[in-house]
Amino acid sequence: MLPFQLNDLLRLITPNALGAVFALMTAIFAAVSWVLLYHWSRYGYNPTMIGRMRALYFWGAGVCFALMTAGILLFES
Amino acid sequence: MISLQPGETVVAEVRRHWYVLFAETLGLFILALMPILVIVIFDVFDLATLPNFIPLTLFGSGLWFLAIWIIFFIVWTDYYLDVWVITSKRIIDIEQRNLFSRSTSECRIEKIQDVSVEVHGFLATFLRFGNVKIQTAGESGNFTLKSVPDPHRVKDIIFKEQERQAGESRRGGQVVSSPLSSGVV
Repeated sequence: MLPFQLNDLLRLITPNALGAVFALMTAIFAAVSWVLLYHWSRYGYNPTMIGRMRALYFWGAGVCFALMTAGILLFES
Repeated sequence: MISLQPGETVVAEVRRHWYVLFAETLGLFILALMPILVIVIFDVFDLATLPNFIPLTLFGSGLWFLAIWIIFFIVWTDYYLDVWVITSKRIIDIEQRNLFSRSTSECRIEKIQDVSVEVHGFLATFLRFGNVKIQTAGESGNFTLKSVPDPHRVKDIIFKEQERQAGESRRGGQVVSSPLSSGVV
């Protein structure tokens, strides 16, 4: 019962749908990053700490985007 | 950034204890484990052989981690930009409530009448954090530095600065009615 329903659900997922989700997440990420960078550059008191956290933020986000990209590239409709 | 007055130096920057950030983000750490839980459930029910299982797992995990990553950094920014700056002349309370709400208030060191420390609870006692309450004479009201690490050290810093400033004022010919100069602590 459960696998059949899941198969139906999986059929709804297309590369275009994944691409749309990817684009939406990229837009959200860009907007939030802009706000965070604004705050860090304007109110961050310790440039070294802010610099490290900024690097960590973008590295981590880069790994997440790489996972998503790999998922889209490996996806076979 | 804070604009300092002539001759003013930053003595200490005090943030809330790391435990506060940990408590706020503990739920996120647990949520970050969700993809692993989903994979285990799929494996147990023998659903890992479904078409496109691996690509969808990669995509879903990436999406999930990114959302959590963004929320974590929003929480961290709120934590990091919430700061009390103790300078040689003032205490500046900068409160970052969220990304779009921020307030700054300050009181002059010589206006401080009393500083008290409160440490409540098991964790606060063992991790050494607590509240520092500052009573002022002016209109700025009372300040509370919440969940600061080593609150007794913060209190000592404030008293030391007050004493130093009272000494400077006396040398400059001014009489300052400070609790410390009158021996009341």
